[in-house]
Amino acid sequence: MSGQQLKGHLDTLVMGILESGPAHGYAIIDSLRVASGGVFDLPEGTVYPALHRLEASRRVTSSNQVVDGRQRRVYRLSAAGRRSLLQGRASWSQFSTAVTHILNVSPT
Amino acid sequence: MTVIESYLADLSSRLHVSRGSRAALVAEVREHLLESAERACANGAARQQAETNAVAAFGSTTLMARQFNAASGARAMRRAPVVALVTGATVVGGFLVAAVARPGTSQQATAPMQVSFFLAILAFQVAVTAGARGASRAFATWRTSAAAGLDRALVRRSTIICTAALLSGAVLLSTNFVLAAHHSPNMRGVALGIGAFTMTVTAIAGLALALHLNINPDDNDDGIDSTHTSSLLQVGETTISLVSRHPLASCTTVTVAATAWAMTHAEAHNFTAALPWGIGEAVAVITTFMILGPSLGLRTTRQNGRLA
Repeated sequence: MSGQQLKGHLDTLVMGILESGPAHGYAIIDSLRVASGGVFDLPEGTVYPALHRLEASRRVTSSNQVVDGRQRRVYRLSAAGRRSLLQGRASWSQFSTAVTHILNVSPT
Repeated sequence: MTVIESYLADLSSRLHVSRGSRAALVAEVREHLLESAERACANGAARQQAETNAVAAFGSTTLMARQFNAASGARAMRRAPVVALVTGATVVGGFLVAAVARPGTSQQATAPMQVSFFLAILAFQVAVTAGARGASRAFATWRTSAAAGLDRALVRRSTIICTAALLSGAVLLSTNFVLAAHHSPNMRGVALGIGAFTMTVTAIAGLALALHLNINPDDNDDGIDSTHTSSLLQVGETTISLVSRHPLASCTTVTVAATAWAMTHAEAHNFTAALPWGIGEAVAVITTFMILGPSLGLRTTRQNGRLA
């Protein structure tokens, strides 16, 4: 799936990954790839601007930590991020139901 | 230089963010690329190839810089109204300090004093309008994780106009103070000097800050989400959309109100003497609306038969 198709959903997906616990950028990209079964094959760097946007809007917080001997910036979902994720889920559910409904109807 | 370091140098040169943010971003990306390359090396890849692959998987420096610049620009955009507000408040503070130096006097102000004061007030009116315009757009996107380049461009333009107008007003008021000090020797020169100095220096600093905010309006990010801000923060934009849809009515209303205000506050003894100030205010409001209206999104212009 291309970045264009993910437009508008990347922030929600990143928050979805962070819901299970704090993680650094590399781990988030790995999780996105694994959780999507390899479907989301974005440029790896794309996740960092998304994390910075989310941090600017206070949906995630970050701190510098040493992980596996490396100094990493670890991101964590904030309370505002959890609320935003709930909204994102509801919005996606509505959208995907509508698209599925339309695409499942055979032309007559 | 290694492939990774070369990539980082190129990325760094394309980033329009503060020095601290640039260092933090580059360090974060470096750690990512090194981890990626080391994992590939652990699986048997040659170091050079591993680094090349890591860099290729990360994305082009142009794309990355554009996205980082857009994210940073959205943050800087939210600081712009604060710059305008603090500059404006300090200029007002300087004016108040200078105002205590003006003893109550029955002497009629000279024409240069009246003109400089009148023009200063006009400049402050422009500053308030532009500042409010920028704040309105910034508030409208306050809770979104990103702001479109057009929004950031408008906020940047408004803030620059606001602080430039504050500087013009400060210089004109300082001129007025100097003229007043010459006209009335019993004024407190120290307070006048402190007031004029505070206003002018603050306005210069505010304009310099506004010009150097990394709002990056030319960098857009396709990955932005569409979360809307609360309706309360949209009040300004709703009002402005009303103004831009009815420019004639809006301009007339503001002109009448401003003219009445100018005539009431003019240092004139009767209606006839106040009339020139009222006409001057009306002309200034209409001219400003015509010139700055499109830049501030207060009215639309027609170009080649299309609305712009």
